[in-house]
Amino acid sequence: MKSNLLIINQNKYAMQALLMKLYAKYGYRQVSIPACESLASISELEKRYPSHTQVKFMDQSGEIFYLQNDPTVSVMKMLRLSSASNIEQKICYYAPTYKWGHRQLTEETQIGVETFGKDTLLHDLEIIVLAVKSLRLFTDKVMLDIGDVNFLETLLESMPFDSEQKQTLIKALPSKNMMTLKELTLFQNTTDETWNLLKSLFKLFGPTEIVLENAKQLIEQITFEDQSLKSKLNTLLDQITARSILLKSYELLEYTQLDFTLKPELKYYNGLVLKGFIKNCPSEVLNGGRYDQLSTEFGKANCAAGFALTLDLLMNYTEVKKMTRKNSLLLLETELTAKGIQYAEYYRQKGFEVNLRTYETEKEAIDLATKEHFEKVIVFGEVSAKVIDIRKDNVQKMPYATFDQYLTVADTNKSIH
Amino acid sequence: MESITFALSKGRIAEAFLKAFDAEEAMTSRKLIVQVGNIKMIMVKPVDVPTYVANGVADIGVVGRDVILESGESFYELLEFPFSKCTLSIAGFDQNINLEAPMTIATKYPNICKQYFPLCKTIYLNGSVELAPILNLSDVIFDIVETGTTLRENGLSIIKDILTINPVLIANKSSYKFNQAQIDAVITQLNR
Repeated sequence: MKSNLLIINQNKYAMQALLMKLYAKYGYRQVSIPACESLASISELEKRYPSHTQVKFMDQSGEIFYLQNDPTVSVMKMLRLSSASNIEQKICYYAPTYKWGHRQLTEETQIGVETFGKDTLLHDLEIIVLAVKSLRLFTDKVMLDIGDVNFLETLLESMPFDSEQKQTLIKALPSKNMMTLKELTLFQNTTDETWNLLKSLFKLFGPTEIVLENAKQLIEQITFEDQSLKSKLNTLLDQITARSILLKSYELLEYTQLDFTLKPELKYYNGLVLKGFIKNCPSEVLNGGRYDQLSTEFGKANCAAGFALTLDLLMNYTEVKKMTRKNSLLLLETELTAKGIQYAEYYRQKGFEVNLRTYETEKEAIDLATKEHFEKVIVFGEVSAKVIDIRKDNVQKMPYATFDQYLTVADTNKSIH
Repeated sequence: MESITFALSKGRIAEAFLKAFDAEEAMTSRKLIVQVGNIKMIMVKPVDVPTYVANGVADIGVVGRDVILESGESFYELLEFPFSKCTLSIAGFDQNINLEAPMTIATKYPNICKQYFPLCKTIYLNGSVELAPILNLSDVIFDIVETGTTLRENGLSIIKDILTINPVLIANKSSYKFNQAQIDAVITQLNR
C-alpha cells in the first residue's frame, strides 16, 4: 500500500521526465494545458461530445467552468486560435484531468502527444512507435492493439447490413462474441453466407501477419455490389501492411497486434485506433489514434493524430527504475569549512547539483549517497580529496591540485539509459 | 506456465469445470480458493464475478449474461455455455399493456431495463420481484424467467421475452493479451 506521498510524487515526476525526454527526441514540444476552461468558450462543436463525467463549477459572477478532462480538445482550441495551425505541429503535454467516477471526483494525470498537419504513413507509424516506446520505458510486458475505424466501417458498408444492424455490430465487436447477435430479431433473416462473413470479421484480431492474411481472405469472400469499396479496402490493407513492415524495422512489431474489431472510446477517431496494455494492469493505460474529423470540426481542416497515457495506472503497475541523479555530488567534511563551501559553490556554478554535508562515518555517508542516488561522493581530507563514484563503484584519491580540474559536467553527463 | 485465476460460483458451472479438470472432490470442500493445476479457482457470488474480472484479480470468470450486462463492464466473451438458459422478460397482469408508453417497472436489473425501456421509471428490488405488481408498486416486472412457475402461481404471465440469458466465460481484456495460451487451454478443456 502506498503511503509515502512524497515518494509517489517524485516517482511521478521521474516518469514524466523520462517520457518528455523521449518525445523531445522526436521533435515534440511541450505545451501547458489549462486546468479549467469556461463553458462559454466551448463551441457548439464541443457540445457534441458531452460527458456526464465532466466536473463543472460556477465562479462568483455565475459563469460556468469545467475542470480539464480532455487535453486534446484544449490543444485543438489553441491551434484554432493560432495563425500557425496550418503547418505541421508536434506537441506533447502533461496534464491533470478530472472527472466524476464512482460517485467521487477522481484526478488522473495524462501524458500525451499530438501531431498535426500531415496525414502520412510516417505520422501514423511515429505515433505507434512512440506509444510502444512510452510503455517500454517502464516494462517489457507491453501490448499495443492497433485498429482502423476506416477499414472497419468500409468492411461493414460492403456487407449486407442496414444502419441499425451496423450500429449493433459495432457495439458487439469489441467483446469478440457474435453469438449474442443470433438471439436478436434484428438478425433473424441473416443468411448462412453472411453469418460466415461475420464469423471471419469477429476473428480479425491477433498477430499482425495472421490478421492481415485473414483480412485479405475476408475481402475475397465478400460479394461487392460497389467495386470501389473493394478497391478502397485493398488500398487500406496495403497501407496497413506497409506500415507493419516498417514497424518491424523498429523491432517493435512483437509488442503490437492488429485488432480490426476495435471500437474507439471517443467518437472523433477516424482511421488509426490504439489501445495500450501492460501486464497486470486490468485496463488499458493508453488510448489514441487519428482524429482529422475533430480538427475539421474546430474550424480548421487539419490532419491530427496522437495518444494519451494515464500516468497513475502506469505508476501503479510498474516500477520506476532507480536512477542516479545526473551531475549530482555529495560533498562531505567532518565539519563545515570555508573550503567545503567554496567547492560547493564552484561546482554549482559549473552546473552540478551539489549537497554539502558533515559526516561521522564514511560508511554512513556512502549509504546515504546510495539511497539518495547521488552520482559521486567527495570526501575532503587534509591534503587530498577522495572521489567515490557510486555508479561505477570505484574510488580515487587525489591531491587537491589534481582534484580541482578533475570534475566537469561533461564528464558526469553520461546517462545510464 | 504462469498460473491464471478463474472466478466462478458454486453450482453447475463449477461442477462442469472441476469435472473437466478431474478435480470433482473440490466441490465438497468449503475452501474459497482451490488450485487445479495451473488454475487458481476462486469461489465467489455470481454477482461479484464481473468485479473480480474487471479489476484483474481474476483473469477469467463464468457468469450469466444478465450479470455481465447489468454490471456495465466490458470483457472478452470467449465461450457460451448451452445449459442454464433462461430469459429476461417483461411480465405482469395485463397482456395488452403498451410497452412503448411510460410505465413503472420493478426489477433486479435497472441498468439493463433502462436500455430497453428508456422512458420508464424503474424500481430496484433485490428479490421476490413478482410482489411488485401484486401490491401496485409497479405496472410490470422485468425479471429472469426459467420455467415460469413462480409467475403463474402469483397470477402473472409473460408479456414479452426481451433477452436470452446463458452462462458466458468472460476474460479481462488485458489478461487475455498476456495469458492467452493459458486461457485458450481452459477453453479447449471446457469444450471437451
